[in-house]
Formats: sequence, C-alpha cells, structure tokens
Amino acid sequence: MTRWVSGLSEGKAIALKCNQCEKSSFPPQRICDCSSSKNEWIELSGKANILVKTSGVDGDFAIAKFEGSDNSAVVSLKGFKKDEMNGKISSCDPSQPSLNLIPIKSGNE
Amino acid sequence: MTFVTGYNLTQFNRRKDGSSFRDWVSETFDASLEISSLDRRDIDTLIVSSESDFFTLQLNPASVIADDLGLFNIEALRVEGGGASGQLAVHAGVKSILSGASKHVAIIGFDPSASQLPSETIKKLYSYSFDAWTDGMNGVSATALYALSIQIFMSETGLNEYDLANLTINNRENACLNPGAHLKINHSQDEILNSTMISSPYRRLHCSPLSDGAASIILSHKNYIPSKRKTAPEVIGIGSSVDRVNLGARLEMGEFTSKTISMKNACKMADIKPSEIGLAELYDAYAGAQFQAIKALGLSSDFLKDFRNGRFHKDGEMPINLSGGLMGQGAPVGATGVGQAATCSMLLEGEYHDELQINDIPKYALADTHGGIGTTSATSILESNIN
Repeated sequence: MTRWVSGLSEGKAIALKCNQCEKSSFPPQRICDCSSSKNEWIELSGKANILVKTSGVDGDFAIAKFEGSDNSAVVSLKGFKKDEMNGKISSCDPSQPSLNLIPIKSGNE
Repeated sequence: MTFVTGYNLTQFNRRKDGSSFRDWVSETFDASLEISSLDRRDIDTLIVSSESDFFTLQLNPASVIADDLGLFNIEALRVEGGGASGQLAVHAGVKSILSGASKHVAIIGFDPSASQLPSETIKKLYSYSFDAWTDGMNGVSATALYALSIQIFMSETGLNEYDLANLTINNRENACLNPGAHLKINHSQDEILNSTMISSPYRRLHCSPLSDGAASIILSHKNYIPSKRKTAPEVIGIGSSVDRVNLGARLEMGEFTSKTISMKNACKMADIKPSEIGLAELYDAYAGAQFQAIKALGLSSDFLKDFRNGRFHKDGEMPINLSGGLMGQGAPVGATGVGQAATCSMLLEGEYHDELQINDIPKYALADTHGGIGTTSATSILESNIN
C-alpha cells in the first residue's frame, strides 16, 4: 500500500492494473477479482464522478468512480456544494494520508 | 450434534456502578452454567469474543477470563471478526464440538462501551474496523459508510425514510418489553425524522447504541447432554463469508452479499430453506441494515411488502428482533452475536421474557451478525427440541 499512500500525499491517484484481465482498481486491490496477483502501478487522471453522497454531523463523504478505475472509492469531500458531482483528487497532509476530493472548477481541471 | 445447554445475557446499558467486563463475564457465565446444570470442571474449552483491546485494555483476555471463572488447564482462546466476533465464536464452539475435540464449550462475548473515552476517539477507533488504510485514514465513520450503502439500497428497492422510522419504532417497542434492554424508549415518527442528521439518511435515532454488557452460551455434544437439559435447542447450521472490505470494490454496493453466501452455507448444513425460519435475531447496527439483512438472507420474497404488512412484527408470522435488536437491546459489540444465539435458544425453549415469548414456538430460528459494512457475515440456524 506504500505507493497508494505516497500517491495520496502528492495528490496523485495511483492504481493497480491487473496484467491478466486489465481491470484497474483504486483503491488498489493486491489480488484482482479474477484472482490474478500479477499487476502494475499506473497513475490515473485523478478526476472522479460522484455516485452517492452523505453529509451530516459526521462530515461529507461519497462513493466516487475515478476515471480509469473499474471499481469505486469512498472519498472525503472538501468544499462541495449540494449539486456538484464531479471532482478531482487533492493532495493531503503527509502525516495523515487520506483520499480527498475537491470540486472541479474552471481553472483547476 | 451441538446443543445449547446454557444461555444468558446480562443487562445491556451504560454501567455507572464501577463494574468492569470481568464482572459482567463472571455474571453471565455463572448464570449459563446454572441453566446447563453442569459443573465448571465439565467445561473443556472456553471461547471469548470481544472486538477490541482498545476498550478493555486487556490483551489475551481468554486466559484472564479462564482464571476468573475457575476454568483450569483447559483450552482458552479469543475469536475476533469485528461486529461478527460473537457469532464467529459460536461457530468456533460448534466446530470444536463437531470435531470431537470438546464435550462442553463455554462461549462468552463482551465489550465495554468505553464511555470514558471522548466520542470522537471511539468513532475513530471503530472506523479502523473497516479498511484502516483507506476508510480509517479518510476519517469516514461507520455511520457514513452504512449511509452510503443504504442510499444505494433505497434507490434500488423503494425503501424510504418512513420505513426506517417505523423499523426504529418497532425494534425499540420490543426493547420496552425486554427487561435487559438498553434503550427502552417509545419514539414517535416525527421525533425520529427530526432527530439530528448524523450521515444522511441516518439520523441519531436510527443508530444503535454502544453498550456495556456480556452474553454467554454453553454448547454440549449430543452424547454428553446433561439429563436435565433434554429440551435444549440444537445448532444445526452455521455459515460465514467475507466480502471485499472496500465498499466501492463491491459489485452491488447496496447489498450485503456476504450474508447471502453465509446463509446459503448455513442452510445447506441444516438442510432447510430460508422460508422455514420462524424467527430471527438480525444485526441492526442501523435501521436500514435490518432491511438489507432480510433481503440478503432470503427471508422474504418481498421484504418491503412483508415489513409494511407487519409480517416481521412481534405478533407477525416471522418476528424479527424480539429482543429489540441492537437498536433497542443495545450493542456491547463482542457480546451481540452470542446474545443473539442465547436469545434464539431461549425463544426456542419457551424460556424468554413473558411479554416477548412466542406461544406457538417455531421449529427454526436464525441468528445473523456481521462485522464491518456487511464485510464479515456469520449466520447460525437453531432448531427447537421442545416437542
């Protein structure tokens, strides 16, 4: 998981691509759904579409599908308005790596 | 082959009497032992279940508990699977009996609510029962994960917020009739729908409480059932399964697929169909989780229609969570699965609380528990021997 964690700190979406079936996973899955353990690290664009959001006292979170990944990820939302459903990965505090999504606005695409 | 000859649950609540898990464990074991009519020297295996040492501050609890209970020189171990710990401990006990390794197994589940810790600390610790390297680091709470899953489930099935409220009312009404329950409260629908939003759609009153308490059962091999325990119920089927830890990695993010697999395995072992289950104790960590469980376990061909028609009500054809469930009875995490097995056993033997005991005792009962976000599921089927 080291590549995943260091990628988060840099604001990069580092995924695993299966060499057997070519599916990509983000967060990375060491063993693919096809049961292959042969894979390589790839960098995704970092852009994601939000599938479902939750908000309340516990904060704002969502399930988001990142471009180039075949699975979805639970993300922490930073600065999203209610109707905003597209975002990109943002960098985080290296001492507290987390998968954060910020809204895509013109200029930060 | 495996009979529940002893059973007990302590009061589930927030203790203010200075007692600790060691007191609750002793209390529940002594009560189970008395029902079993066994002597403590008859127990050859002790299995304990507790979700986290963070709350008990006791590593290797099985050895300490064996000592406290005067269970000398026996096999003693701990089983852990998050919220499924208790049911997995029941399964470990069943397997120990079936293998011939044990004649009598004591299974004890417990956990403190750790109410002395700040709530944010407790929330953070429990978030590590998901994937600590993704969910834990993100700071996503258990409530938020369950909320994301139930939103998908609701959009696919038509379940709505009124159903969540009505299930909450139903379970807590049952808890009002359970002397050992934590939350004996009658809510109104408005009260629930206006309670604080924790993670949409889950409001404060949709959430089960963390409780202090313990539960126990004693399992006995068929050939060694005490003469006074001829009507003891039998564990006839067990099954468990894991799903992908990350919610986003699952094909069906609104479904508790691991329960479908664990139920299939349990039914295969028991040689019965889900439709033959007469009552169930399910893992309602949140109101919606009970609906997800009913569907995943195959307990109904139209769960929403059946719920709205009262089929799962305490006076319905297939009562669910007569105890009040986690939402009403409460949830000392390591104790819940053992408590479910104990509750099912009491109901199948006609020994449950008067106002909740079913007069027409069904043949089969189901105890279903899970850890994570339906990540680790453990299911047990019990058969009554009352007739």
